[in-house]
Amino acid sequence: MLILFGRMAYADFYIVVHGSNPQESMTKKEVVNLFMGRSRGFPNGDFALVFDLPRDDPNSADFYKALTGWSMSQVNSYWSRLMFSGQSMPPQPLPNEKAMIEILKRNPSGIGWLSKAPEDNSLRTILVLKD
Amino acid sequence: MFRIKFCTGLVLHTLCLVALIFQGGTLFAQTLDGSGSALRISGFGTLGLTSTDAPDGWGFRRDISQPSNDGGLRGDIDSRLGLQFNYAPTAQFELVGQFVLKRRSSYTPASDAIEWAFAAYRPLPDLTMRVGRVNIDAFLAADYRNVGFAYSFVRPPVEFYGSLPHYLDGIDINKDMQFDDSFWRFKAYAGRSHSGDLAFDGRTTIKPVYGLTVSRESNGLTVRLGLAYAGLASNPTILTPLLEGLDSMASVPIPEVVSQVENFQSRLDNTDSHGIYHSFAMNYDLLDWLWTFEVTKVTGHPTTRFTAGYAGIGKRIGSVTLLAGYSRISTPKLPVSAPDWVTPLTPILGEAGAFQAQAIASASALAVNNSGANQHSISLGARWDFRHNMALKVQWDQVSVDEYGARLWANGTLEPTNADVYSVLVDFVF
Repeated sequence: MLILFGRMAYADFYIVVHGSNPQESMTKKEVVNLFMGRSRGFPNGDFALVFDLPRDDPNSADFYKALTGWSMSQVNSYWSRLMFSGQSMPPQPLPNEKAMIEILKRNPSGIGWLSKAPEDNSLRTILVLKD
Repeated sequence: MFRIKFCTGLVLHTLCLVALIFQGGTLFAQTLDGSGSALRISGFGTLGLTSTDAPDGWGFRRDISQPSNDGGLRGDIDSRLGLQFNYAPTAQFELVGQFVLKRRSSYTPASDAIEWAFAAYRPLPDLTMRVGRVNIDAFLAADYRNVGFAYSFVRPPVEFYGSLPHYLDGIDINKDMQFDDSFWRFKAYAGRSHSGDLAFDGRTTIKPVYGLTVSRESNGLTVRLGLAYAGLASNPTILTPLLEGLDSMASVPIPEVVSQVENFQSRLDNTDSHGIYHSFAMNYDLLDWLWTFEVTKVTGHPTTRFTAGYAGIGKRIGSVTLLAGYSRISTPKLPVSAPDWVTPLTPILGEAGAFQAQAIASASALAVNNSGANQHSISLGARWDFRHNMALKVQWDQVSVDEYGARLWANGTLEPTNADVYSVLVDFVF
């Protein structure tokens, strides 16, 4: 129970971009549009490179539940409609959060998510998703 | 007792490929230096068994491009494997190829295995132009009807999707717009396609094809309108001798017979004609409920005319979704009867000639009467997402076929009948 309670209490997720990204902030809806393939760019019109963690990452199911309210199966079913109809590919999955941080540091147009606030000054949190 | 008629080759090949895929882990391929993937390989598939309880010889099909079969317990109605390659060297440019392996008719050219093959260019994040083999995006599930994991029922409703053309060789342009809570998509397309019943040599060329689709999505509710024009450029090869026979009858000096010949020609000869597809769809996916509704009316040449629709409802309980649906198709009223050409033509053509003419009249009436698709079905099913990328589905369809309405079936006859179709399958994506 304590473990469950602790997990529920700290289920925030951090939507992170490069420190030089001119986009100051984003709404949850704008982030949903990027991560769910409805939009390919930041609200200011710049192309966005969206990065994800693997679908079987221990935090992925909670992240997508917090972002969309959907289960992982629903997210996969949704993406199978988009990717196999040639509309859009899901965000590129990276092996882990360490790789996410490294890639976002190198990509001014990148956006991704972390389960902890980034400590590196070259990254900036653009939205905190609360469960 | 059921007869087991697996398409063993397809099922075994599919199993081997799936085993390799899961053994080898992910097929996501190479990654460029920190800027995302250049080449990604992904896929989907279905392993399915279908048992049909119908009159002897009647073969259930998920669409009329499937080859003939004579019913029973089969593994080749829904089983298929798809592989997709996406190569995106930049955010603006992408190459996509998708290949689908399944049992196909001997009248199908090998190139039909290519479901998608296009180059996409995105000058702006919300504007996409695609050239190559895309899809006729006129209907809700038109783009992903092969991808079982993408929808809840075991297959898109046969009454609705069973006779619609698939791919489009041409171009499409897609524009996305967002207004507050709603997400709009406008798509225009043009090109050519093929359609027809491939239980026999019924393939026809459709050109030009052009259309518009508008969809709006907001808070789980998707509403979609479509309008498409399909020019009919050729007749099925199997009808060529009959149409030549009717041509030869058009010059007999009896106006009543000529009028009847012209009536048959207008119902059987596709050339220089067209069909216009009007469609409306709604899909509501909120919390644990799914609602879907779609209707289409096709006007134009008699061979293209039909009205079809379906409604479905689903309730999610954990990883299980319970489903119920109803779908229907109807085509113009039948039957037509074979006119008597022996009596008026015997004095002119002689007995032998008049009997040959009568054979053309009878064959023409039969061809028209076989073109009807009038049936409805009730479906009950369940989907269990037992892994995040795999789902087990079971479904029972009770199909009622009206008199002169069995066009969607292989080896159907003109009599009305009822049939039960039981399906068990596993859908997966990787």
